[in-house]
Formats: sequence, structure tokens, C-alpha cells
Amino acid sequence: MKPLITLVVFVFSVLAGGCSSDGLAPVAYSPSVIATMNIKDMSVSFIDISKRKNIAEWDVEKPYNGGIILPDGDTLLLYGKTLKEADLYSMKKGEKTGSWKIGKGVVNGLLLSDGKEIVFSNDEGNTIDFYSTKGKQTGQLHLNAAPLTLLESGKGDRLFAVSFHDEKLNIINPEERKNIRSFPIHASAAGAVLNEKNNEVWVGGHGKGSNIEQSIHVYDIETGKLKKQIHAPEMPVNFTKNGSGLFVLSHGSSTLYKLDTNGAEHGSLRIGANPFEVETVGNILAVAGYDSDDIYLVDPENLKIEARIKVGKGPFQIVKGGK
Amino acid sequence: MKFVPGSLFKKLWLTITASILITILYSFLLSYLFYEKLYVDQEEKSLLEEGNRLALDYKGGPLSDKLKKDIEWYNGKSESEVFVVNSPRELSACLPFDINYETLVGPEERDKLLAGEAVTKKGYEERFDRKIVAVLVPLLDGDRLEGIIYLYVPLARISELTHDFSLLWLMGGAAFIIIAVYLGFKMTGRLTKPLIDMKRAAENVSQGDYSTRVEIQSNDEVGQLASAFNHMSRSIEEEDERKRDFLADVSHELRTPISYIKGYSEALASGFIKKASEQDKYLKLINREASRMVQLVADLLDLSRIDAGQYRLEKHLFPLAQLIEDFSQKYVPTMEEKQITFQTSLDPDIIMNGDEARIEQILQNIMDNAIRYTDNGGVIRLSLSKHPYGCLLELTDTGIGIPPEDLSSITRRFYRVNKARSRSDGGTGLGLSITEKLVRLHGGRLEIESVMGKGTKVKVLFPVL
Repeated sequence: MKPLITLVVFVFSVLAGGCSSDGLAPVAYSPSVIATMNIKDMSVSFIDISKRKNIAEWDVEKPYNGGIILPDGDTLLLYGKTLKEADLYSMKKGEKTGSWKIGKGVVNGLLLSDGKEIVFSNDEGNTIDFYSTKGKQTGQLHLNAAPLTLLESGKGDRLFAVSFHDEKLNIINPEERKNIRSFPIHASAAGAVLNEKNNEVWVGGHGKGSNIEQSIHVYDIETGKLKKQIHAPEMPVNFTKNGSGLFVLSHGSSTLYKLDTNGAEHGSLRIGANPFEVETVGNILAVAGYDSDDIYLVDPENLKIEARIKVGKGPFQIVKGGK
Repeated sequence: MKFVPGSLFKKLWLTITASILITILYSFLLSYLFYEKLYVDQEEKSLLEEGNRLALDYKGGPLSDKLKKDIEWYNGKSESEVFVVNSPRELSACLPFDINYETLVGPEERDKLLAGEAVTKKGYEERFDRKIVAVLVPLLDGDRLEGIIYLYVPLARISELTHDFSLLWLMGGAAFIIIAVYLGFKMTGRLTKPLIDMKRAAENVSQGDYSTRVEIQSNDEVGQLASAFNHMSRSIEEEDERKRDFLADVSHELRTPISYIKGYSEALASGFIKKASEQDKYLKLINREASRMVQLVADLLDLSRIDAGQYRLEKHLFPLAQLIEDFSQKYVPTMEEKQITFQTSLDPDIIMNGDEARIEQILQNIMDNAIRYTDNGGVIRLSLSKHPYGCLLELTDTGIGIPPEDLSSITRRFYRVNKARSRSDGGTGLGLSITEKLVRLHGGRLEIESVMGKGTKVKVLFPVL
């Protein structure tokens, strides 16, 4: 009888082990926790900024390229351009809790500042899709250009959709689901930030064809006129702003620039290898090095690197919780 | 050499030619492949070494203008094309974005370069619109791929080299084929000539010319075949001769008694002989000659049956000494008449498994000969004893003996020591021949020893139980 019991115990433990190996490490979320979407090895890394530590790695095994932390402070919504569904994960439980059928082609997502709606830019259908935080589609707006970068005005009354392929910027009224206006911009535009004080939108980019983009293009929000170009070589593609200034990340030269609202440079820093994303988290800047597979924590005042934390392969986007 | 359709010569020659052609073609292809591979590999290796040496000048940080200029200068001196690429676009740095641009470095190549490994490429490169062998050496500043050194050689140059080489090869190959085919032709001729000779010889033999022989030129299988053929035709020739002799002998042996019978019977029929005693004598002579013919025909029949393998022995067990004892009794009067002393020494324990009648026939033949050739007052000894072979039957006489040169032929049909073919001594000339065959049928052996003027010893060895 004894061998039989041993066998049963063994089989049970194997099965139980097999089940638990599918699970993901639970993550205790706090506003100091950020997630990086690592597209080379299809993983998600969680970093606690306050602890300067990688606290969990999730092998999601799906080609997600972006994510949003929902207002409940626990659900992580992950989407990918080639996926038909966006998946919901509970960080606390470390497991998948559901899916939203949002269709293929989603390249970016944004939780609106009211915390009630999420907008997705879909570059296959050239649409802006509105969803409630429960996953119900609440609207769809067709645009004349494939949207990539999404920005929300400070008051929340305007959405800005920058097109990568179609050289256009659309300004949208999210409440009315209406396109207010669109104006032409430079080619291969990526990354943008609003400088509302000067009524400007700053748009970065990669450059067309073999040309390497060297500047940030500054457009007037009202007229769409190119007001000026701010030299920030090479290929400024991501922005963040905080009390210290505007920060631009140029992936071609792996450089982080600190600018003021007039475009004057107040320092620069060679950082990471081929970094694509900079994000303000509390009073610190987080920069993701796509080729160096790491996150740098930088003091925004003096541009000093405070920590370097290893993450999964190819961190492409930093996801942080709401304000 | 004439081509006969489907001939061995043609087959051999075609096989040799085809083997040569296939070998040459195969070795050509192989060497072409190896040459190209070795050459390309060598080029690749030297490009890699060149690139690695150049990369030593890079000390980190963004690529300096000096390094770019140095490499540009080097490009002017080097046989290969060398240039620096530091555009992040060309290096696929914008990979996660859907950039509609054919970059110089692909995603996998970028990963390899980022890992510090050089990338090698072989084949068509759209950017240069030609086939190349290229080496990409990374210039890494920590994790940052600041640029690469791109070195390449157009494959056309290698193809040109292999073209020259293959031309030489083809010319050499063609010359070799001509020589080899010619030599193959000659060699095949040499190989098949003995076979053709043999075919002709066999045709001659089949037409009755048994004296035909094949010239033996080698010691190989064909030579051995020729030797066997010669042996065969020699045997046929000898057999043919024997057959002719045999026919001559038989007709001669029959002619003598027939002539006697004819002559005496004619004399009787013509009434020329009146006296009853003379008539009786003539009749007895006719009867004697007729009996001789009957004996001759019976012996010939026996011989032909033995030769044809139709002679069946009716074997059973019997004491051999008893048989000899009984048998020799019938010779006593004859021997007494000739005043021959007859001595016997027989081992009564010997039991033989044989055909009694045939054993008697054997005894009769050798006894007849002994009495026939032993003069009056002679001695005949008959003994039977155990022998390692089985048993030994030995008959010794003090007769005239047999000349040594005739001993080996004494058992041949119609062979006579007395070449005059006289029948005065009686016998058909087949007795010993039959005797030897009967002894062999019993699994025994016949041996004859003789000294001229002293006598003859006939030994018969039989297996016993």
C-alpha cells in the first residue's frame, strides 16, 4: 500500500507543481512600482523605484507592446499590435483575470485623466477607440491618418493623436468623439509632449528613409504651424515633463536632454543603449535601455544616474499607475 | 577491334569509359565546390581579421571623425571594400517601429552585433546589387552599438578565379579522357583477345579439329580458363584416339575368329574334307572360335555396362577363404596337367561383403593369366591375409613376367604385351580391364608387380567387415 500512497503523493505534487508554474509572481502594487514591457523576450518586469529593485519578472509569452495600470490599482491591461485581445492581469494575484476584444492594430493606449475611460490608437483601422474601464467600447473615431502617439491636454478636453506614417496630427474632443482639426507634420513622427504654456505641441521622430531626425518639431496647437525646431540629435522619440523641465530622449545617440519650455538645453546625458522610453515617476526619471536591457533612475535636477536595474530583454515601454 | 552489338568488348569498354567520365565529372564538381568554399572561407577569414584589426582603433564613445577618415583612407589601399556605418537607422536601431526602410543590418544581425560577435554574409546584397561575401564587425561602447565596420568582397572576383581554374581543369580533364578512353580501348582489347581466341578454338573443336589449342598469355582467370580449355581439348583428342583404337581392336578381334569359322565351314561345306575325324576336328575348331567370339562379346558387354554405370553388384556376406578354396578346385586338373605346383595360404576368418559371382570372375581372370603364362613345372601361390586396407589376396606365379614398360598399361582394353596380337595364348584382351573395374566396384584396389623371367605378383585389396 505504501508505494501506492507514495505514487499518489508524487503525481499530485507534480500536477500541483505544474499548475503553480503557470502562475506569475504576485506584485504588491504601489505608486512607486513601474512595469516595463520587454518585447524581445515577451516579458514584463516590475520595479519598485523606492527600493531601486526589480521585484518581479513575468514571462507573458505573448507579443504585448504596451500596458496600462487601471484605476483599481491592481489590474494591468496589456495589449499588442498583432493581438486581437487585450488581456487583464491581477498584479496582486499574479494571474490573468480576463480579456477585452479590442481588435488588431492597437499601437498605443492611454488612461484618460478622469480615470473612467481608456483610448487606444489603432493604426490598422485608423481609429481612436474609446473603452470604459470595464472593457466596454464606448466610442470610435475614424481619422484620416494612422495614429500612434496619444496625448491628453491638462484639462482633459483635448486629445492629440500623432501619426507615424501619414504626416498628420489630429486634435480630438474626447467628450464629443470629434476630430477638431488636423494639420500636417513631419514624416516618421514619434513621441510628443504638450507645452501648453506656449500653446505648443513638441513632436519627435525618427526621420524619413535614410535621414536621421535631429530635431524636435514645435507646432502651434491652434494654427498647426511649425514654430521652430529644437536640436536634439539623434532621433528624439520620447518625452516627459515635470517641475524640473522637459526631458527628451534621443534613441539614436542614447542621449537624454533636459530642456526648458522655451527649448533651451539645460543639460544632457548619454544613457543606456538605444533607449526608447523616459518616464517621470514621482520625483525621479526612469529611462529604459532597449539594447542594454535595463532601467536607469535619473535625478531630474542634475541628470545624475542614481541606479541601474536589470530587466527582461528589450524594455520598450514603461507603464506606471495613475496620478 | 570490331564492335559486335552486345559484345563483352563493347560492354567492358563502355563500362571503363563511363567510369572514367563519371569519376572526372564528380571530381570536377567536388573540387570546384571545395575550391570555391575554401576560397570564400579564406576571404571571409581575412576580412574578419582585417575588420578586427581596424576595430582595435575604436576606443569607445561616439565614432570620431578621425576613425571614419582613417578607415576611408584604408579603404583606398585595401583590396576589399571597407566602410564605417554609424547611422542608427542602418543598424536597425528603430526596429520596434514600423520603419519602411531596408536597413543594412537585419534584426538578428543586430542582436549578434550587440552580443559583440561579428556577422558574416554571403550572397546577393540588394544595397550593392551584387553577390558579396561580407563581414560586419561591431564597434561597441559597453552595450551601445555605436557603429560597425563593413568589409566586403564581390563574389564575382572569386567566380572569375574559379572560372580560370575550371577552364584549366576542363582542358586537363578532356585530355585525360581522350588518353584514358584510348588506353581503355587497348586494355579491353587485351582482356578480351584470349576469350575471342577461345571462342574460335571451341568452334574448331566442335567441327572435329581436336588438335586446336589456345595460346596461354596470362596466369589470371582468363589464362586459367584457356589452360582448362586446352586440357579439355587434349582429353577429347585422346578419348577420340582411344575410341578409334578400340574400334580397330574390336574389329580385329572379331575378324580372326570369323575368318577361321568362314574358312573351316567353307571347307566342310565344299565336301573337300571327307574323313570323319578331320570333319570333327574342323567342327571343334569352328566351335572354339565361336566360343571365343561369345566370350569377347560377353566381355565387351560387361565393360560397357560397367562404364555406363549400369552394373549392379548383388552383395552379401560370405567367408572369402571358402570361396577361394572351392573355386581353385576346378583348376587342379589343369595345373596337374601342366605340372604346376599350387600352394595356398588362406585366412579363414575373413568375411567379405561382396558379389560372389563377380569375385569368382576376378579370381578366374587372374588365375587364367597365371596358368596361361606359367611354364610347365612352375609354381603358383595363392594367399589371403588381413591387411590394414581390409584383406589382401595375393597371387604369385613363376611365369614369364611382364616388361616394366607395359606394367602401367596392362589393364587397358585390348592391351597386349605380345604386340603380334596372337591369340595363341587365348583370352580376349579384356580380362584384366574388367578385373580392375570389378575390384574398384567392390571398393578395392588392384596392384601388379612383375620381374621379367621370374614371375608376376597380382595383389587385390578388398575392404572387409
